Amino acid sequence: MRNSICRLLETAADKWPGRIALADEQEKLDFSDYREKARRIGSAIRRLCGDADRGAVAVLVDRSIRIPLCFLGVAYSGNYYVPVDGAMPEQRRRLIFTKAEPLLVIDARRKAEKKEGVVLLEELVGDEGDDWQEALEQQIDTDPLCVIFTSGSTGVPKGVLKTHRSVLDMCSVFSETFGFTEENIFGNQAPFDFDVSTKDIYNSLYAGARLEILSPKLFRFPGMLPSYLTERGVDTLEWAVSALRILAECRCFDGKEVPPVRNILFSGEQMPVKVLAYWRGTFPDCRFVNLYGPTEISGNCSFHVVERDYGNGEALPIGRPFSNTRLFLLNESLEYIRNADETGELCFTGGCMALGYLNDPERTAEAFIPDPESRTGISRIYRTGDLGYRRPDGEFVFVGRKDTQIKHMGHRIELGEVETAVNGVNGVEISCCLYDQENCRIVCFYQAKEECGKEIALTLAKALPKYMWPAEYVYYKKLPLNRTSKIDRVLLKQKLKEGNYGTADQDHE
Amino acid sequence: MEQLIRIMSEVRPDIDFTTATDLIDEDILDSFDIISIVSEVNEQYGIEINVNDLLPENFNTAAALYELIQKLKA
Repeated sequence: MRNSICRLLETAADKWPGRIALADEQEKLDFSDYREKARRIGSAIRRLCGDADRGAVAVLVDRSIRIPLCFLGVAYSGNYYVPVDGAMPEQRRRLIFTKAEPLLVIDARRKAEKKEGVVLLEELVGDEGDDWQEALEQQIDTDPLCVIFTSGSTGVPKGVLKTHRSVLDMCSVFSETFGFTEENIFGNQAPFDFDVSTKDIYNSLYAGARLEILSPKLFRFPGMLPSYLTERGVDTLEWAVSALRILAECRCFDGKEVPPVRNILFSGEQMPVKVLAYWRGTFPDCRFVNLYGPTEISGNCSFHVVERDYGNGEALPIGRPFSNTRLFLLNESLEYIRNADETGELCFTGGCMALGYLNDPERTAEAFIPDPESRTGISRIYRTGDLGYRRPDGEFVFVGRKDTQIKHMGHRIELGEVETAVNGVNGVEISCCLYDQENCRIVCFYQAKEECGKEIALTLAKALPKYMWPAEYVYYKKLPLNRTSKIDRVLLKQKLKEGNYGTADQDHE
Repeated sequence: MEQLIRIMSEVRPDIDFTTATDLIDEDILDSFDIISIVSEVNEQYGIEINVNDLLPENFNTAAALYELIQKLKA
């Protein structure tokens, strides 16, 4: 029975031992070695953790084949992994560790640093024990596989806990829907501490396909990307919209040989129609799929295969739910919306749903609620906080958020978390962060005795990951308030939209 | 050069671009930094840095980028 993702690797290594499973610019690994090394790492972890299972193992990640290998190793040990970006500011890393309480910290990066309290991946690969066997025998599919941390509005990141079952569910659903085979070659763009990469690692493993990990350098200098994709035969992309946008903006494929890409599945934020037009124009024979779903689902809730070009202002639907997933809308009284075209909160449930937030019963209870229409009193659903409606033809359309969460550079960010960090800077009295949708940047309006934008920027650099930094700091002696004496976000948003918000334009009362 | 340093510092306030080297080789700038810097430079200098000018050696230091701008302006 497939009760653990380790079984996927066992199957692939039996069927295709010599086929390349993982590759990056510098190294590659076939399925047989992948399994052998993952087992060894699993045994070593198990011994280091005193035979504990179902505990957290933090993994410092880069963009190399070592990372999926280390993740599988943790799974073989019977524990779950918590990926942390190696470049994550110390302060936030500490917040994550406080929540996750890892039994062990593994620095799996190619340029790993030997530090106290940190184990290097190399130290684990040499293990020759067979402790992994015991772990695998005991593993059940409701055990946690990993925790992906995402922004939290109170300033404390939330850890989304995924089970083996939810990821196995995603694999079978994606395979059935898109028909991936061992002939496909996936090109990984998403960082390994980011939810999208879960799809890359396990959809390729499930199919016995190769995962090519694309160096971040190829996205910094996209001139080299087309020939690299061709050289490596990459044909399937599960990418963030933001990555497709960067490449379209610099017209990356103009005048180049078109790579053999056949599937482009994108997600993370709404796809701008101009970006879609560039990609469809470049890859006319490729299948384009819009995917929708938060981190709280393994894989995605719904998909829409793009069949035509879209005009300005036209919304690309998020489509229909995947099989084994129920996607529906609730109104403000938490009643099911049955009518087409009526806007409500997008909610889902299914085998792919996460267990909840790690060590956070309160926030889990807020978002994972009992199904209002179930008479069991116990079936749970997840409220996404996204607003949408269902068209008469059954396709869902995303409209916006009901709170101040945003999607920026493919990351999900609670503006409240940024504000909490800004408010903590010496001298700042209060702040309000808004998203400038048109220019894709966060703008911070702050109130202080004196201008201190530079100080805020430097402090935030030590507290938050880069994608959460505001691009601009606008100083106010006094921020405008609304009638309930809260910061007038509506007014500031309006000013931002009109481009009329600079310090010079202020009316200091 | 001051103008360029200002543009770069706005994108990455945590870096001192007057002294920083190996911006690419040490993975200091990521793809979003580069795209932000390039679009701002294109606008302010009235030039067009295209995908073929996007090479690591043009971005390792502020001085290297400045040289590229001068070349494209000429």
